Amino acid sequence: MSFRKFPYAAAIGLGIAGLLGPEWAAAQSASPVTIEFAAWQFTEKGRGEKLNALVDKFMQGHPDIKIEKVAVPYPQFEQTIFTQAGQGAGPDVFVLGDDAFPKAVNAGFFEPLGELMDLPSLNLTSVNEDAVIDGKQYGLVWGANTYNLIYNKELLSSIGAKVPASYEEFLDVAKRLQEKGVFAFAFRTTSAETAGMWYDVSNWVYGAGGRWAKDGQPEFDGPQVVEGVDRLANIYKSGYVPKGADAATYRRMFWEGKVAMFIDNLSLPGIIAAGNPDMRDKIGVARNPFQSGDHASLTTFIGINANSKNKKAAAEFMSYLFSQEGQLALYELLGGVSVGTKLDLSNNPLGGNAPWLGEMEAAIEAQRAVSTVPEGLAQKASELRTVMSEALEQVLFNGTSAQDAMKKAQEQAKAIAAE
Amino acid sequence: MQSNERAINREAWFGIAPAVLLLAAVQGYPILRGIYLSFTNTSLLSPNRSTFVGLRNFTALFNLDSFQITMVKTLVYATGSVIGAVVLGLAAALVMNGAFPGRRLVRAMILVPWATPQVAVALVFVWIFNADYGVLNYALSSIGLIDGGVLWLNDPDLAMGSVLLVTIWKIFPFSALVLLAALQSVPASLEEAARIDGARGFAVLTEITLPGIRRTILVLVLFLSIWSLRRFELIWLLTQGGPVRATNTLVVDLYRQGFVNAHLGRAAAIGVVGFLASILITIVYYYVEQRSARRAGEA
Repeated sequence: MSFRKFPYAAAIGLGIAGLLGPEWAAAQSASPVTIEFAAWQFTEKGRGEKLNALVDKFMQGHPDIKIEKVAVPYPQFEQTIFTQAGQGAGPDVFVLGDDAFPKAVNAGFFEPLGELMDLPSLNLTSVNEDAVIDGKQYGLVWGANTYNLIYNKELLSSIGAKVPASYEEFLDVAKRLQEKGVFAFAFRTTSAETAGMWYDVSNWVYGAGGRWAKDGQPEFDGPQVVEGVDRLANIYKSGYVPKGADAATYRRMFWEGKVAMFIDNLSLPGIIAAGNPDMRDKIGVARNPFQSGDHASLTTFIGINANSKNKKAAAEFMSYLFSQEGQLALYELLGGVSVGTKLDLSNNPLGGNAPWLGEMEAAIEAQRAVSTVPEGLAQKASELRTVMSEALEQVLFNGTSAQDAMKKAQEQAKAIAAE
Repeated sequence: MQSNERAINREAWFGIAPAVLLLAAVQGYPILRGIYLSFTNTSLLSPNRSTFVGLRNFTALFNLDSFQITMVKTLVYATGSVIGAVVLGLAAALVMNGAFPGRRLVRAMILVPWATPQVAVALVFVWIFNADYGVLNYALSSIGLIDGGVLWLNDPDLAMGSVLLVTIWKIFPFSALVLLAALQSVPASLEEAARIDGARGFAVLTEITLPGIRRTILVLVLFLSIWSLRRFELIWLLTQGGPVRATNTLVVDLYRQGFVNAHLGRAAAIGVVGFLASILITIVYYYVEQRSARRAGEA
């Protein structure tokens, strides 16, 4: 179109718009409100498909709301959200782990939910109280997950071994598996996955009875903490674990039958069965092989971005997620871990697809869940995680003793806590 | 005459003004903003709320033992990658400058690493270096050079070497291409004359060819050095600066401080240190260049 004709075209366009009148304007305003929903589960095999289906189902029932799915992998998730929200932007609804949640609330990233949702009608579990800060509910529980021993039944029975119930039994089973040419255990042994290393080592520390902090004071050099780190280093140095493996690699090795055991969150059996359906009946879940009975937990919260321009639509989506239908779907996609409400599981959606469910419930019952967030130091969690990862690297890759590495880490942790 | 010159000057200023304004907007402002942030306690979580803390970020950095290690690692990484890329690039350029069948194909093939995305390169090399299933350990075990899985990326003594190897493989084609262009500008008659005078291969290279492309090598070293200070993706994807900070360069430390620990002020201070290092390299380059030019003039 030439420039000379442009004013005529514009005038005709305006004329048509004027003739269409208020009906046309109303139709325009009825176009769906778009909100963004970010969760790392979108990127995960097995869970991603189910989460997509859940969001699609919501949109089918709510044609006035369109949800843009924001898929960011777990290792980059927190940084991505913090960078966006810090600039006054970010997805309208997002999930965050309990190590990052308090920091996000403190920074004003979450909108209090009390005025946006009918919370008393949701039949919420008591874990949701962890998301109440200064009397306001800033988030709801997306999933309350715990870390347990996940093992390959076939590999263990091939050496005539029972599931190890103590560290000593674990060492015995590991030695026999090694003789058979199988990696007995796996955890993140690459410096490229320091965030995940924190969860791995937390289970060994809690299993030995240690804690990262007490009343806001770091305890990185506590005797039980050192014992836990030392045990993990011992099995690494004994050659029981694949070296240099990241989480994706060792999980794949497990479903290929090359790794016999690992400690991970309870969504993993479902992910593994989705990756290799032949593994479904071989997956076992047990309590961690440690004396204390303490195991790590990871609670994930979901909330509404305080910067959102469509908070009502976001709240409507949240309300759907916390309805019985949404919660059952979440329960299924998270692989049977606790969700945010008290669920009626008379028609368990996992049914016979998760033969490990009974063992899983028994393992949870037999242990005490402890958050990986250092007690009283939630605002410093990511920095303390870096310190811990570097200390573990010193022990695993540099031959430093657990005692010395943790002593140095304690000094650094104290300095961070004092800032 | 004088007013004529003034008019021309004015026109020249008008001519370059858009470029100057654009540079000021896209380069000048971010640099000044970064310098300002380095004197504040800005957090990633609330970047609009910050207070001026003077030199506190810098004194905190320089008091850390780990930051001194970071500086040393950055120097090792930058030096290693520049020397490696220039030497390998020169060798490749000399080969490509000769006449042989399939020369065009070789020239195209040699560009493959440069054209491959950094993320793909990192992911492939993570597998090549894998201790238990990596092809490198398999090949070295097969010919009896190693016994057992070598931790190329997880052994603090080997990690920097491994990262350098990947970096050099990735960037040497650029050096090769630049140096090839320079080699083609060296008059063939000079090399011919040297050969007639009895000079042989290595002597021709050191006495005729290299002096002929000296200025190109200097510019290449300048660019590669500055890029090495800034290179992030490869190192982060291969090792995240580990193990035990063995590959922790300035830019990796900057990312960790800014985006993992959420201390934008401290990250900006690291950025300023890197910026000053780049300026220092540039000053050294101009000094060397001018001295050479003076010598050439005297000759």
